[in-house]
Amino acid sequence: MMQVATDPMHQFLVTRWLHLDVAGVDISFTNSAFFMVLGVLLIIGFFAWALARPETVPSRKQSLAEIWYGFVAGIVKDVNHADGKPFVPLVFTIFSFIFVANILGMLPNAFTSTSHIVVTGTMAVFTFLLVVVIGVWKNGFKFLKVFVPSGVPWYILWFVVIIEVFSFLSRPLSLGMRLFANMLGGHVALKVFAGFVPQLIVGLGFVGGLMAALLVMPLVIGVTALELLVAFLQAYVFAILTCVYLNDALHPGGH
Amino acid sequence: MTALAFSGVFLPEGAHRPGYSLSNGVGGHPMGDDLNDRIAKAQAELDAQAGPSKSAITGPGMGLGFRMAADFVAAIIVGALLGWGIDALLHSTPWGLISCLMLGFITGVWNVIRTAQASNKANTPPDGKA
Repeated sequence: MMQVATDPMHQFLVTRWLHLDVAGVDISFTNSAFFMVLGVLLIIGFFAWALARPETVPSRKQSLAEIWYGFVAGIVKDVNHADGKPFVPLVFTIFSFIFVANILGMLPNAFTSTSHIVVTGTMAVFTFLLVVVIGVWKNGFKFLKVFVPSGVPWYILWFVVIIEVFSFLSRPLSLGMRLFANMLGGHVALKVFAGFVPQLIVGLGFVGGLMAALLVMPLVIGVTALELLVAFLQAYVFAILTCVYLNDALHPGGH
Repeated sequence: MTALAFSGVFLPEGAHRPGYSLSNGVGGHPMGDDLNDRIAKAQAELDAQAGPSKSAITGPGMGLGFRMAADFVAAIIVGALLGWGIDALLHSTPWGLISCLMLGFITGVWNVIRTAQASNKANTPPDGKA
């Protein structure tokens, strides 16, 4: 039987496109870096193009830009209310970057930057540190209230504080891991299901294989649709959790 | 204007640019101020009627599921890492790992319960009828 090369992990290989060494540190321009830069340029380019000549009655492209902005601003407004206004640009940047990187990854032969924990983990740690810095800056020592929920009897409070510390420390891991694991797992599943088609044709002969492949193909289409949904949903969840965590920094102890 | 842009979320920042603004600015006197006030008032009334929108806090069910699953696993991993670190520092193998892993497990369950409670509360109307 012939072998068909369908290594589902091959798509996650980071390759150097441009060798760069600065003081012994490898900062080569990789395919991952390229798709991140491409995503950022696409976002900036789209908004510059869509809002180049804004009108009171918006055109289609302007509507899209406004809905995009309004969606993110709506999240911040719902979670953080008026206090969240300064954080709209931050949450908008995070949401747009993750969303566009995820969608770019859905294109054939494209690289999914968000399927690497280095990328998602960096964003998660940044969010985590930002929450700590803003919390301490705005509230000083009162920020420690985030570990002390109100209305808990003193005899179990010490235990609840330990749990809250664990919960707080698990946030960056949870944020980074969810995005990375979903993108990785989804793309592996996609590749494996799609790989069934050539494997069946090789294994069962052309006619039999084609019949079987026709049964597999709807599944592949379904998984692709699901992945498009997940690409949006993961950006949405990351944005919403950033807001929820920022809310803790602004109002510690106000669960 | 900025307050309006935020309350009526569909107006982006910089909505005061010429050609976009609702005020015409004839002779230095913005004619549209009355309109802006009326829009702000109408928006406030709409907000008051609708009550706080809850869907964004909990998200659609699938997003909630992703959150719970990752929060649960992350707490256990953090417990394991902390326990491992404590053991390495204090040479207390295996007690740090065992106790922190259990604490991590409790935290994971607690994270899930708290998210579910917040979601239930947010999705129940104030009059108590589900």
